[in-house]
Amino acid sequence: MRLPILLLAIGSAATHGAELPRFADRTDAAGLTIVTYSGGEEKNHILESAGNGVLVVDYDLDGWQDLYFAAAYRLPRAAGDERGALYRNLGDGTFADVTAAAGVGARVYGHGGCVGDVDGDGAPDLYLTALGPNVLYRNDGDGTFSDVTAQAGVGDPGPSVGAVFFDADADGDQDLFVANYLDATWDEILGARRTRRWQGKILVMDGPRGLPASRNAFYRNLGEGTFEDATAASGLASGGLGYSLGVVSFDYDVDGDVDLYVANDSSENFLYRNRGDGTFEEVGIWAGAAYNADGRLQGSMGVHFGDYDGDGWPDLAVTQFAHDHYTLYRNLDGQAFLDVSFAAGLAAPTLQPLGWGALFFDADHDRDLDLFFANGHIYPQVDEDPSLHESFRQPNQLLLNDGGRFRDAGAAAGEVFALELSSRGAAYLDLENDGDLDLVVSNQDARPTLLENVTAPGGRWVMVEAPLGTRIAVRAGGATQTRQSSSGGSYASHNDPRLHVGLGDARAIDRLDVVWPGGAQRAFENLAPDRFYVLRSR
Amino acid sequence: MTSSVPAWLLACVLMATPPIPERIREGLALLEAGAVDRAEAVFREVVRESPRHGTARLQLGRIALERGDWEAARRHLVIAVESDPRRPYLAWQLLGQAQLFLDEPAAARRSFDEALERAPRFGPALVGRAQASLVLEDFDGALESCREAIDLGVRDRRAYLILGDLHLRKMETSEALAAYSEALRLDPAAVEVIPSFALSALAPAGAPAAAQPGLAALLESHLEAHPGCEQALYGLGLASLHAGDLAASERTFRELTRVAPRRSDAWYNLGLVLSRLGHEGDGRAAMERFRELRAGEDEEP
Repeated sequence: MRLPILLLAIGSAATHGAELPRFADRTDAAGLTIVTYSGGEEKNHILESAGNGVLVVDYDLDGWQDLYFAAAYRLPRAAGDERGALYRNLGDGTFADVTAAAGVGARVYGHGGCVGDVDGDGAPDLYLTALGPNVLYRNDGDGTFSDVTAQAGVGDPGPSVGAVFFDADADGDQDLFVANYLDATWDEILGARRTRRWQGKILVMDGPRGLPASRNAFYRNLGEGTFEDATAASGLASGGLGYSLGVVSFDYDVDGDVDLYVANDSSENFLYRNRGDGTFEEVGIWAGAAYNADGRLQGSMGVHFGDYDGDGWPDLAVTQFAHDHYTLYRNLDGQAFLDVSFAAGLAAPTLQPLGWGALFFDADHDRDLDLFFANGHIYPQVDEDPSLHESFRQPNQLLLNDGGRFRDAGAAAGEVFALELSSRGAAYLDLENDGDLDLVVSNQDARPTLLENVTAPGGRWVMVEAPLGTRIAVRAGGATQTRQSSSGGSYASHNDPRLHVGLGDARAIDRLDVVWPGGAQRAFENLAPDRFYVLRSR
Repeated sequence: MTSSVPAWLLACVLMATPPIPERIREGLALLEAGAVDRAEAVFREVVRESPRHGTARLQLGRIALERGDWEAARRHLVIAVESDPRRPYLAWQLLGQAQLFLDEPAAARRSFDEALERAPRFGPALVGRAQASLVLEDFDGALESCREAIDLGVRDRRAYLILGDLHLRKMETSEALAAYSEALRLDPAAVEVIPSFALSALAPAGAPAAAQPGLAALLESHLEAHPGCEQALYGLGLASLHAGDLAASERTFRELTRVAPRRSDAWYNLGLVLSRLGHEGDGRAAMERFRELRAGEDEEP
């Protein structure tokens, strides 16, 4: 049996007091120059509006979180040199493009991906989703990667958007789920014409309705660098076909195995419950997480989980199409969810925008989870008709949690929240290892945005590095907060894997409970705050 | 020259066409007595003789509005406001109302402004202005007009419904509930136009403690007077579901599916409640019915 041990890592000095969180645009200073294209300017095919995600990964294990930006092609392909890019965090607020040196410059029509450790060597590997086939880059441990897609057998034909690594069968290695959107060939993309009149006013791309949905895929890790397609056997096709985009792995019923939630555009969302033996049943509609409160389908894009109300059950936030509220599913008891979007104040500020990336994170260390949403319309043509009251480029949003109700901080959280771009993927990371969470956003046909958390030093915090699938409960200052380590999530993106917890003014962590993947448990008491801790197996 | 028309016949003709003021009075009396068709005939006769007669046009516009013929209402009222009727502020207010129905909120707001210029404390114009401002997403303007109307003592359910919507937008649920409650008190049928999402917003457990029992009590009271009111049943079912009273929620949604068997949202929530109660077979049947109905609706987000 493997047991966790706790290693004390680096401390950090901070003063404490309540402040409104603020973020500053550090894109230029960081040297993030990549333009992440996604098809042509007119977006004649729906896959040109799917955009891209961003993966946070410490690929060289130097303790600084690096960034991989997925990118598609600019259409029509003029130069043909567009590709995703890996940026190494130099630890001083700047990044260096190491794509070529690291060997991750595959030219694919990329959408996003996830980070995992497929061979258990401790070095994070990259899985890239694309128009297809997808790509698996194995980290060789020396700052370079090898394309092992073919031998691993995970070159899913896609088109894929979201993906997660997770240990489906609790055998100690990481399996892979791939969310596929709809079937399309290059000829169909290149030959697409806008034929659908939207709101009776503008001609826009077709779909997704009317286009063939694509089958999701599950690849079981066989433990020797190879995978087998176990989609049917695992039950992860039992939900049928959906226009799948975002996916997140988490243990929603807290029974010790990992479940999946799949956000589907214009079709029922899936909640796959792990039966505990590595097979799954789709329970979305029964759990109340497939539709909104009125039983209406939504156009779901991105998804993230987090225990926003501190009751120990992980809840779900799902971004949606324009003129429809984003959805907050409150997990009532590990079995049923309730759409509380209106009651929790999420609905009103999200009725207008069209959302993609979704992140639960504690922006201000006040001991609850706030929400970040990356927004942008799919039809550039909305800018042509003012009567639509729409815009292709939209501001992103930070919604602050105030006792279980959310309020849009707007530009009070920084001018960057007035910036209008057509954003897609988003992830959080601790850019400078100073204990607060920063944000990185991928923008369609534009450079990314790096948002440094510049909130005046306030509440205390703790960050815990733990293996994928670990659950922790942190008790401090009279409150208990839970976190789960997971891969993927948001929209085609991957977050800083370290579990971050805001502690408010608590002077100590009374207790840290750890549930290791596989169920082993351990507790630690009286830990100092404002520290990074690392959990390792032995 | 002597007339060849007999005196008795001339008298009859004169009797059939009394002077216009007299016919206007007759038309108004008929309106008051509820004889709308006959009143309309009288006013039509007047405008045939005097096409720009302001009062006749105003009354014809009002009749058309009540009948839901917005185009005809606008046609008459445009002439009425140009013809200086006896109560020009009323003509402008009614014109604004017609324009609202015709989805011309900017024009409607201008008309309400004209009405208020002539009668600054005219409640219906203030309410109409609030309504037009809401549609134009001028929420501050809507709130100002709404509050002014309410401060003046206007007892119009629309004012409270608008106020409720405005509070909901700010997620001020207790204030929204108070406004909706007043609308329901003024006119219980208002529940029919309180949107489902507003009921959802008011119902959930996250709402202030006082709000939920308040809403449930209101809806129950409305249902006593109007058994089978769909929207009240839906709101009550949601309120019970969010409060965790699954048995009450099941009863209510079952009743709603009986009253409105094609409401997919009722079947969906019934299925959810049954599932949570552990009645898997019934829950499955409800969800199957929900899916059948949704398939027929062919919605696209």
